[in-house]
Amino acid sequence: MRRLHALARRLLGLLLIAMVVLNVANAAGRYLLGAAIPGSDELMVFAMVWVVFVGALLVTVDDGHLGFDLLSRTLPPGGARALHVLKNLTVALLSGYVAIQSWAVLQKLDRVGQRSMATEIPMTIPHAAVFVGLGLTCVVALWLALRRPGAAQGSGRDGAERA
Amino acid sequence: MTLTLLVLPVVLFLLGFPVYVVLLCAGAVSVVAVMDTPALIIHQRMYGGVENYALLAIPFFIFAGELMHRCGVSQRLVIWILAVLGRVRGSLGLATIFSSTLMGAVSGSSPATVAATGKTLYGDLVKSGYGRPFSLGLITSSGAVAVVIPPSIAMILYGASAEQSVPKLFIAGVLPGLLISAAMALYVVLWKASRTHRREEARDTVTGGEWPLGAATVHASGALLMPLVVLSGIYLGYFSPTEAGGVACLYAALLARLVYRTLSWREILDAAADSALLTAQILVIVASAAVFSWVLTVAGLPQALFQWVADSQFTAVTFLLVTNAILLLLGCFIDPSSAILVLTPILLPMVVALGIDPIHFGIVMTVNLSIGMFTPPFGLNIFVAQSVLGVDLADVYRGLVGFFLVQTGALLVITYVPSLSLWLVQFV
Repeated sequence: MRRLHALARRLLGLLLIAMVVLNVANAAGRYLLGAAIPGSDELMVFAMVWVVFVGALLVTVDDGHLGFDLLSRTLPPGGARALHVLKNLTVALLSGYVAIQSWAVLQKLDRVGQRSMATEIPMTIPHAAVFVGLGLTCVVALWLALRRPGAAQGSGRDGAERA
Repeated sequence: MTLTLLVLPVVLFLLGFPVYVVLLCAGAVSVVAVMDTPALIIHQRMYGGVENYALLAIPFFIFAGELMHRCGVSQRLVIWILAVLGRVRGSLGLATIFSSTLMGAVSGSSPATVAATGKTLYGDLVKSGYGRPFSLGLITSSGAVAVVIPPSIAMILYGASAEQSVPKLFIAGVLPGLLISAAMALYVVLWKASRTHRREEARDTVTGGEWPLGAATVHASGALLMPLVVLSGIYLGYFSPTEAGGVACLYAALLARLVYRTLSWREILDAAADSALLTAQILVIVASAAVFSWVLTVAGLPQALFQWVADSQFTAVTFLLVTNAILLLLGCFIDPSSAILVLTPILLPMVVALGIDPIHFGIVMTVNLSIGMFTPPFGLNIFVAQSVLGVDLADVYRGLVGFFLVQTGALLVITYVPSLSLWLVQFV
């Protein structure tokens, strides 16, 4: 799990750097060559969609999402454990349900063969980010809910630290 | 609908569920259990919420801020500000405020500003007789200015949510941000003057000694140029806020790697990875808020509020006063990004009905939520200061009271003098 997390984290970093390069190259091309890179805005937005939904999955693994996490700090260990399980089961149920809806949307997009306007990329590619991100969040949340209590701590950094 | 749109989100929020789960759960349960709409809409709204060119500026400015934070910019800014201030009474306190303001212009992140200025200045502040509580209050509250000074992530989110121009919001935030800094500076000078009676006692001790202004300016020039490049690029029409974000990243990476030589390529990649995750933390809330606000709109809440304001005797003055109170309170519990995304669709129809300028309201909202960043008991900056400086929470709380009152006073001026926010907008 840790290796996969590190690999995905690094890939997201590379994707963000690629977005920066494309963005700067686009602006520079407009001034230096008199022409922007065709479809670059679209590509950057699609990359951002992937960064958001795969990144949100990794933040779930780290237990780092933003929230008002006061109650679990004041509860006794048993209560905090119960709340931890309840939270993760809710996340699993919710993300699993939305992932099923996303799958249905992907099938629909595939049937009609919808493509993006500038780069003509199949629209299933950017939309799949929601399905992949939330589908895997469902699996991860189930794993977090069911693993033994001692392993529940210290998997990642606190969200507040990064925010 | 009251159950799914009000009771359910409040209960989940109080139980400590992540904000994105609170919003998505309330939206999804409303769609499935109450509304007669295919559930595919949940995916469509989530995807549509983040497939927005204007939001691209967020990962770019986060990445640029992360690079500037990691490459040691704050130390250089502090040295430069101390050189500019010379031997003014309370120079170290003033340096804390002005370096936080500059860090805000460089990084746009309030917690990063608190961490950077806190690590750099806390020891010297205590040594110079500011005392632990006052020093902590100063560091924690100064960092909040970063939310108001452009480039501001909160303003980009407000701009996307309220369909307002981000460059106009950025420029509108300049004078209010400077007003807050000036009010804090006046408070620090008066506080220092009231506690030191002899000139020698008033002099602050600085680790690393004093630098001549010329040498300090050269030393900090790389950091000082960044906000100039970004903001002049936007306002002279060379690039959009999104492109400015990309240019800021490139500038920060070259500065860190080739000029300061404080970061390796691997560390730059690590900063990019952290920025990607921070982007995800914020924008997944945008995606969920898109579902929630769509349900609110279809349920007719904004229209009902619009009608209620139109029918009631509410004036803009009372509305802004009540809104300030609510936002200050909420700001203690919710981070500015989440609060803006949830509240903007609800409040904007009332703002429009009362004839308040949406750009001015965006600044009022941002200032309110920036104060919430350090308001006890749960302001995020308080915990950042505690964790970075290893101090007692009670000391931080005690030190914050005066700064809270000063910034709330500045907020009232910003709220009731719209020209302070709107005067510069006319030149854009």
